[in-house]
Amino acid sequence: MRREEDEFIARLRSILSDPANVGDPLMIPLTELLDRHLRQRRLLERIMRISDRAQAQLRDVNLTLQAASLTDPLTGLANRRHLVERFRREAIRAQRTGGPMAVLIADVDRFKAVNDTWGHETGDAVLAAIADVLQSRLRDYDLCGRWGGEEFLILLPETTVEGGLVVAEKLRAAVADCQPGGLMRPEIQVSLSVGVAGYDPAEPIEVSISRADGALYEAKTAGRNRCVAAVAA
Amino acid sequence: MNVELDPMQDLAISPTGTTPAIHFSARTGVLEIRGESYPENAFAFFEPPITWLRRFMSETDTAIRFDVEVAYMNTSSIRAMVDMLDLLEQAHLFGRDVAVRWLYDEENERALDMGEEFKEDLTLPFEIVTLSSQE
Repeated sequence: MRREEDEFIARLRSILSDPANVGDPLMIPLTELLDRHLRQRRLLERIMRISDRAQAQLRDVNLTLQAASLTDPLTGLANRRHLVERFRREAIRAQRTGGPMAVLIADVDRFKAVNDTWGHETGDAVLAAIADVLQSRLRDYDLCGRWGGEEFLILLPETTVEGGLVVAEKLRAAVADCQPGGLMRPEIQVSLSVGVAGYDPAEPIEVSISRADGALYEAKTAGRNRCVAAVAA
Repeated sequence: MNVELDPMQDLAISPTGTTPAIHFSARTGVLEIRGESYPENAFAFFEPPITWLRRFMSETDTAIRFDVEVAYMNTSSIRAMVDMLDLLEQAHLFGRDVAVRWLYDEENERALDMGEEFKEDLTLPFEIVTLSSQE
């Protein structure tokens, strides 16, 4: 396209500069037409360049918003929406491959006491610290997110309930050992109760989640700071 | 033939969700466009400011300052903006005092790139100004 046009313009120019054409009444309008055309072409290229920039800008904003819409701002973990979306995708995958998947719901024990004793600002910092501990103990492929208040949901693809229970115990121990109050409040101690369930491809994901929730409830009533696996559906 | 023209009035267009605020002052020569620009019919939307600008340039020799604070715009708005800058560039080449200020939010670095893209090919004074979001 561009080469053909360049050739055409070169031809026009040679006609315009040919002494044999001097005095032809079409010379002046033709010269003007060529000037106008070249100007329009420059304009078009300029507009395209700026428009490309504008679209790259929108794309960036889009990516930023998308990341923001999937992230919990306090902990930097996945938010509930992200967890559900990922769970649905992994469920489809598990149905196809027949592989296992474990889902954990972890709740910080007596978290209200932390807020009541130290204030919400410290409470928020404690939650963020626990989130870091959980995240650091997981595989890249696992997904840990904030499910609500002081509750985290952890998705372990390619993991059985038994494997999920091992991971849950590891997370529980790590949180019990950590100092979520940091150097400022080293006396703050927290513990975690965890419910574990296996995803069953025959059921909607909500049912797996509610079984993990049931197991969490059992862990709480059995005295907290412990992990309980739900019996298979 | 003598044509009696009305004295130049200011041009003021209020912003909408898809169109920017426009204010052109005939007295000071300060032209401002602020907001987002996604008019359905950019040709119709920008026709009044472009006409105003042409008239202002032909009837006065007041210095012009053009302030643009438009972070997002559609392609037809870009075209209108390019046309306006082109008019100003011509005026500048003919010796008129013209200056453009491209204003952008410091948190939107991409808008800086846009400003630089608009600035390219122009020789008139074109300043890119960061607006602090603390303001």
